[in-house]
Order: sequence, then C-alpha cells, then structure tokens
Amino acid sequence: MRKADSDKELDDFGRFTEPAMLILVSLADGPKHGYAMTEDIAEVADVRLGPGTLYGAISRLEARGLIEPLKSEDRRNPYRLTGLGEKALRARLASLEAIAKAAHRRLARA
Amino acid sequence: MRAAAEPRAVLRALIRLYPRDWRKRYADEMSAMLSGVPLTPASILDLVAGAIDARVAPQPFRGSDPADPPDKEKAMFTNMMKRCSLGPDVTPHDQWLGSTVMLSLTVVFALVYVLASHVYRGNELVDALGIMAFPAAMLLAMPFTYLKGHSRTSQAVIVGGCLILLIGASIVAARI
Repeated sequence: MRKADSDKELDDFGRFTEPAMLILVSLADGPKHGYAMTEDIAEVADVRLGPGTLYGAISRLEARGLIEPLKSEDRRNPYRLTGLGEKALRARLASLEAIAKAAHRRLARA
Repeated sequence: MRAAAEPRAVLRALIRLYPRDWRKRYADEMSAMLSGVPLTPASILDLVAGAIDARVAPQPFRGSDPADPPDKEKAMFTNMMKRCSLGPDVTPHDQWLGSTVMLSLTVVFALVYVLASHVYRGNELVDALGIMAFPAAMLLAMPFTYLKGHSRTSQAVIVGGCLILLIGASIVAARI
C-alpha cells in the first residue's frame, strides 16, 4: 500500500511516533498545555505519557511545524494543531482505518 | 517543607540534564507541568531517557518568538546533518584507547561479578548486574569513540543516564 505524502510526516519519529500521534489527537479539539494533554491522552487512550516522552514528541512535532505554541501569560504554554498537523493526522487516521478494515475483512473470512 | 523542597531539587537536577537550548525552550513549562505532581521512579527514568534523547537527537527549535531568525535554525540543522554524515572524528589511537578501556572494564566488571556472586550467593540483583557488565563497559568507552567531540556535559549525561537505565533495568529484572 502506497502512503500519501502527508502520512509520511510521522515516519521518522522512531519511538515517539505513537506519543506524537496521541498528541495530535489530543489537540484535534482545541489547544492544550502539557498537563492537559497528558490527562486527555490518559482518558482517551488509557496511556499515561511520561514527561520526557511527552516533550520529546512535542519538540519533534513543533520542529516539523505540525503543532505550534500559543502565547501564554503563565508558564504553562498551550499548543495548537497547525494546518499541516491536521493534514498529517487525517492522513494517518485514514491509513489506520484502511488497515483496520482489511484486518476485519480477513478475520471475517477466517 | 523540607520534604516538599527535595522533590523540586530532584526535578531541577533532572532538568539540568537537558541541553541548554532545550532548557531555554521547554524547562519552564515542564517544571510548571510537574509542579504538584509526585515524581515517581518511572517519571524519573522517563526524564533521564528524554535528556539522553534531547542530546543525541537535538531538534531544531522554532520557538514561539517570531523574531527567531530562520537562518539560525537552518545553520543548526546543517551542522546536525554534517555531524550525522561525517560521524565522529575517530583516529586509530582513539579506537585503540576505546577498545582498551572497554576490554579492561569488562575484565574488571567480570572480576567484581565473580567476587560479588561468591559473597552474595544466589542474589538475583547481582546476577542481573553481571549481565549488564559488558554493555556498561561499552558505554564507558563511548567518550573515546562515538561521543568524541561532544561536550563533557553531554558525554556525562549520555553515559551516566544510560548507566542509570541499565541499573534500573537490572533492578526490574531481579524483581520479576
């Protein structure tokens, strides 16, 4: 299966691929700061990201322009999804849906 | 009061393991995120692993300040690519030194393991640490080869952090 270009954005994230994907999902409904992301991801995916993992993924997402920080009055900087980030998230979700559909079809035939 | 101050001191020490540029960009918000949250052994290990990652694979920071010069970012990225493509400047003497350090430490660790397993017969932690002896010797030889040219702080964080992770893994392995 050939990957869409926008689905390749997370390809070189190594062990940070899944945390980065979860951060994109968490920011899909609006800006959040680090602590709010951790709590949201724990609720949605039942995964609690450690602080080192969270900021390792945030720094990669920010460096590639998939998320961006917002100005904040306090020290807790919120982040939001950029247009590129939204595109990458949609592409990755479409790819996962295609895999899930193929898996269901095969299991149904088995 | 003192009990509350100690975890903050631990957190400050852990954040100091990260490179200066990284701290400038993320230290404040990470400290704010972790204030009031108890530091568990898992989060301490995660922070150490994060510091190693930040030093081994530094990211070009865009920063929230629009006045950040894009050229600086390009230069940083170019320097990173150069370092990746050319690798460390290791001479035959460095290779010889690195190999000697690695082999000597392996022998020393093996002797310590034999002695410790004789004294603490049947102790699973000693056995688990014994298995880690060779990777530990490899790590301690890295400043002469792979980590040559990195700052002393980076070398200390990468080697020290990996040793802490190895010891942590040994403790976990001994308890399973």
